[in-house]
Amino acid sequence: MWDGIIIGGGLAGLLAGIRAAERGKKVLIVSEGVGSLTYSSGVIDLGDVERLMNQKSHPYALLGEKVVRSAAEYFQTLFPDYSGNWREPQFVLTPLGTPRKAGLIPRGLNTQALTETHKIILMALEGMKDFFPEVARSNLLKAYPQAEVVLHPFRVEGFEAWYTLGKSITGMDCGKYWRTASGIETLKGVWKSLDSFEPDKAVVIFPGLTSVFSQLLREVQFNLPFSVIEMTAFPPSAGGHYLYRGLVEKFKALGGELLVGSGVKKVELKGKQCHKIIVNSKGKDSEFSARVFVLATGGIFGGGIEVTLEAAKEMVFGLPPFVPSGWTNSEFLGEQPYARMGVETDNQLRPIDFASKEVLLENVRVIGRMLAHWDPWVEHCGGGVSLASGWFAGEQI
Amino acid sequence: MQEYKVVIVGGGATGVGILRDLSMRGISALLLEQGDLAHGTSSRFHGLLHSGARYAVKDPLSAAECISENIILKKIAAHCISDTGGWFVQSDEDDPDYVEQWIRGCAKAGIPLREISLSEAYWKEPLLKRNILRVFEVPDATVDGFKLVWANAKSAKRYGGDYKTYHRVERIILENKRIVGVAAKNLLNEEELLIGCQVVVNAGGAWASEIAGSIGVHLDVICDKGTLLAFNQRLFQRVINRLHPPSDGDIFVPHETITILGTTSEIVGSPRENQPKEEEIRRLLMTGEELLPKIVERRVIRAFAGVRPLHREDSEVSGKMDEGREVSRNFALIDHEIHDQVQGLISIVGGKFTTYRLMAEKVTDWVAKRFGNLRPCSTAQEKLLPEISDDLKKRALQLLPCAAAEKMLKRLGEEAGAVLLEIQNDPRKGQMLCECEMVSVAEVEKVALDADAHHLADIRRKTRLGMGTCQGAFCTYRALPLLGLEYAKFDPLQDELKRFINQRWKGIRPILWGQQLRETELTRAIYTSILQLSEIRDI
Amino acid sequence: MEKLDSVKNLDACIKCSACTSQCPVATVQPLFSGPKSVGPDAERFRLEGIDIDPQCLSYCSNCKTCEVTCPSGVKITEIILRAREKASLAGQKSGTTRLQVRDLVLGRAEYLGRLGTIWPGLTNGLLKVSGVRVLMEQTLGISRRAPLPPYQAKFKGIRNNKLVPNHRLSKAVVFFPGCFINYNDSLTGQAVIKVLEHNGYDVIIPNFHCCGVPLQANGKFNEARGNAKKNLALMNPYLQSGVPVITGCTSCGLALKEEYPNLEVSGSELIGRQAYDLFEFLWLLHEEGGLKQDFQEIPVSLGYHAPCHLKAQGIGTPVVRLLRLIPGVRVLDLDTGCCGLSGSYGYKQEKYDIARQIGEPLFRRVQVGVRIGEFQSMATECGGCQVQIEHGSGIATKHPIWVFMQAYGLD
Repeated sequence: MWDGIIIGGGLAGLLAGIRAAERGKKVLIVSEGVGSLTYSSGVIDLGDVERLMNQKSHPYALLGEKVVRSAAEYFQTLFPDYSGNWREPQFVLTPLGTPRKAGLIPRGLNTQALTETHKIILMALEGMKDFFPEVARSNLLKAYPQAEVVLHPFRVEGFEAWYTLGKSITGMDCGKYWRTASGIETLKGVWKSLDSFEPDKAVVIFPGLTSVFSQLLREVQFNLPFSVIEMTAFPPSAGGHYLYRGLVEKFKALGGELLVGSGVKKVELKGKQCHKIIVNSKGKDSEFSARVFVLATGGIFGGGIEVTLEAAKEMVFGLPPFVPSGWTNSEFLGEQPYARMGVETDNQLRPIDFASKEVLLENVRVIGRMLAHWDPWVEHCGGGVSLASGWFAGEQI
Repeated sequence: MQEYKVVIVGGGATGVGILRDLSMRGISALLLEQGDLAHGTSSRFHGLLHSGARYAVKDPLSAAECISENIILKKIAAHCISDTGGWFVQSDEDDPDYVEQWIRGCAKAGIPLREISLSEAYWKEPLLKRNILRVFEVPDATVDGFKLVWANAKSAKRYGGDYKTYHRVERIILENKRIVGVAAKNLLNEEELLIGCQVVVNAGGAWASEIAGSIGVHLDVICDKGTLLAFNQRLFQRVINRLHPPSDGDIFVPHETITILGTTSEIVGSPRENQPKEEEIRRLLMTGEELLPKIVERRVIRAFAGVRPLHREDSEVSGKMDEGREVSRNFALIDHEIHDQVQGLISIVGGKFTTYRLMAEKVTDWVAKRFGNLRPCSTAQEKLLPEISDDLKKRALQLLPCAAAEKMLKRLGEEAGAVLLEIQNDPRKGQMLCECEMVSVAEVEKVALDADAHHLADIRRKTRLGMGTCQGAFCTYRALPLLGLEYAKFDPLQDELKRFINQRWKGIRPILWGQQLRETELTRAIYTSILQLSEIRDI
Repeated sequence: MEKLDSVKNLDACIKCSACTSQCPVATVQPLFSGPKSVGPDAERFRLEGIDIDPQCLSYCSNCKTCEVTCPSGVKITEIILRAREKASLAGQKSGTTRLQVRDLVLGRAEYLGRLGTIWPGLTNGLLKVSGVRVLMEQTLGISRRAPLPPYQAKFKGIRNNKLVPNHRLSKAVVFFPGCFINYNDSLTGQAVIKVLEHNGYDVIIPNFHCCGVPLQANGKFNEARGNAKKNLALMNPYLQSGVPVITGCTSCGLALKEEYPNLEVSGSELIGRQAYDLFEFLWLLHEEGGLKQDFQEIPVSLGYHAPCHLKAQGIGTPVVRLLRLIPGVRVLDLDTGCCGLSGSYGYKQEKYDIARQIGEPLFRRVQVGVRIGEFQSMATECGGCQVQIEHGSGIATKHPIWVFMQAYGLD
């Protein structure tokens, strides 16, 4: 018997698990995959919190300012490598070199120094996949017109085999490489070689470098005469991967157990209480029971909601999802009604019937993308809602 | 002012076929197309190279034309055609009398038939529904419309023919009711172009009546919309037809890595009404289910529609006009001198892709007669593209993964040599830019530098970029920097990206469920959150 | 267990590349284009009849990290293995004749084992001679540096000629030792039996054949299936009486749970449900209140490595939970990726370096952990991982059952 079982091990699920485990609870997280953290480069988007808190039925409105703020602060206590606060957005660089707003950001991504410098050195590792130096350069020139932008192409011996084959070096390969012993030595060499660029006045942008959660990389960058700024990346991103690892390690170190690669096949209910989940392991089903269950299955993308030609289904408990009228709009980058699909809850995050508002399952909490009435993409608040609802659920276990 | 003997309006299969035939016979001709070549109906059909069996009962003349052209095209355009063969499948719900009529009709039209045992059928096509009674094999094949149209254009160019894309004909210029030229607008830079000519061939397909109408000539073209679905995988290895009177959703056509299911038929008011409707899609899936059980579980990556131009006059087959399907798909040549006292204007209407070369031949015969040109037609004899040398094949396989090499050779023919050279000089260019459809960086670069590549969509049509499983989620941003636009001007690149994404979106919206819905969430994450495309100007 | 709907399986791939980013082989070997590329990407072309070079497929080590990572549940390794089978049936060669012979040899773990245990002393002696190893590398392509585990006398345990009376079947288990215990580590096999007996279970050990995984990994799919059917026939009478089958090796366990149910022979409908990883079984016993907890205090700090095929089973890490029941035991789940050996993969001449590089972060972590006093030695259930971790890090690595032996005072 567990104190809490969290179904879904993405950002929301892991944060709920960490909070509950920290409070001394016995927590199990069951997850089909590794969540969608690799899509975001580890940046936590909070969105326009004030505005969204006043938006009807938005998870921020449901949870209230105190929860949203506490969750963000909690995240930063867990990971001091993150900076920022929910009131003042910071800026990070997109993979194309344009600045964009963000909420909590890992060390190395803050673009503040770019607004003050006169010289930007854009490191361009030869052969990096999905990085376009000229495009990035032109965008930087546009965003920071006071600065000169210099491209600095370079090769790394550790990737010699890639160069010979003409194989592009993925962001993940880079991220891992710079943390190896030879990678660190090479990096020290790179810093040295930048001396000729009058580094005191310059800011160096280093795509592919991901120093978050790395003591070693932090040490190498200590006392450098110039600022080093990292970029976000296309998925699957190293930054997102390291955040995921960071969350998992924290969770395990607090005694939590993580079961990845299995989905929940069935649940056993007793009245309005969930009693057991039946997990689809290889060959047979495993049963797990707990006092509280948290549904963090990631919405449409995570497989938590399956949409067929006929209907939308919540896949674990069979809860009735709120389905918006109107499905799509023609402007792809704009509002898409279907994205607001999810499970409606009361302000304790318990699933409710949308007509009668009656609580459907008393010991279940719905968090993250599974909640209805929000859209992480156009509202830029994916991280914020996951943290807030995850933290809140972690308190409930 | 440029002078040609003939101006052809419309760059679909018929138009380029005429351009090629005219050029091969030594008659100077210019083709003007308002979009990219084949951007009309020729790129929006199910890609079936008919054996003619489908028309064996209802339209025997058409059936005979089909089988004859089928054999010719397989000879001259082998690189555009996949000779998969086709099956006609009688299920337990189909009328057995029709089957007998059909067998007789095929024999009369000269279409070879072979009956296949059910055990062989199910072994070769395990996904087929288990209620089938009889299966017949016919020489259906699949054809890549883009490739074939471009191959004709390139062939015409070798003989001195010319074509301009993104040029819309605004006015046909007459003097004393006789054609003297056309005025066209270059849609890329808004400039007007005047061309002098003696003959105008109206091969505008679904736009033909608009083109004729511009000089007050009435041309009756029925716009018949047909919706199609593209499935993510090659579900069948050959064309699968239902053995019953032709109706909606009764053909599955495998194309390389995907499968197309079509089609529907609805009369619409204009060629621009090409948006698939939910009701049509449901109907397609329902009828498709009769051949492919559990069809709703199979992933659809795209829905699209083409508007077929059917001609109302000269039809030898009577039937319900408004359903579209009863009108003959034979073609008609209309000499407007006879009909409308306009000298030098001929319209070609109706027909089907499979018989484009025959239609082009008839038109060219008419034009040639006018100019006293006696050279015989040789479009059926000469191959469209030279054979690909073994040496080139070997080199390609050394530098690229198997699938990428084979596909590129079929797309570029001998021009692939230049691409391979690029890869040899810089192996990184052998990386796949579009991983779903295995299109290398070097190939996209080459196509992007082509004079004809103005938009990402042009690159897409020539390379299959963005036409695979992810529908452009990943390859769109990768292709952008290769467009060759000056990097200082990112705005045009950004607009281009948005335009391409919205174009892809048009085809995904009607089929947004299941795995394609998940794919869309991922795509939205990339463009709205990681790239924050719509917000870029706000900073 | 449902048979895989291969059309649905392929359709689920949304091309996110998460699998490739986590693939241990792709990270270190640029010649491998990654699981997405040779799996679902290439599959759409295989359906068209365009097959990729079987050598590209050969880099996959079958660790199943991609399947565990995939957010869409795509059975990527299965797609790759099927493609390998198709290639071998079509007569496509994945390497030179010499390497094919090697694969033939390494795939037959059972025969090698039987051969090696005839005179283990001699075999082990020979395998230590560097000249012999060089020769093996040149003739068979087995890397001279590969950590070939020494052979011991064959594991005997209790043969099934000791009949278990029917009324005792409810407290009986069938033990599937696997080739490592059978031929390289019979003492661990004895330990497993003793712990199970201590908890009141009779242990039945039919004369099983190799589970089939090495055969499958080396392209011998029919032989693998043949072995599986023979094994099922041996298990069947017990399966029909509801007796569970316990595996000591996580790869055998995965095979029994995932592959065996697909064979259409008697017993295949039961094996999935009745196959248990050893510690999965003991934990369930504990949840029912049946696990003997007469543990002595064992003040030991262990680092634990979860074998890839255990992760693929989707049961979590029950051994960690169990070890924490023993007073004095501290366990740290290192969770540092794949050890690299992947069965016979890391023994191959052309794969040895890849295997070393894959395991490098793990070896480093182990060494650091010991150096700073986080733990004293390593524990992991898979024989291959044990060998590879010791080889790569120099730190002693044993099967966790030994801690229980000590705790129960059975050693």
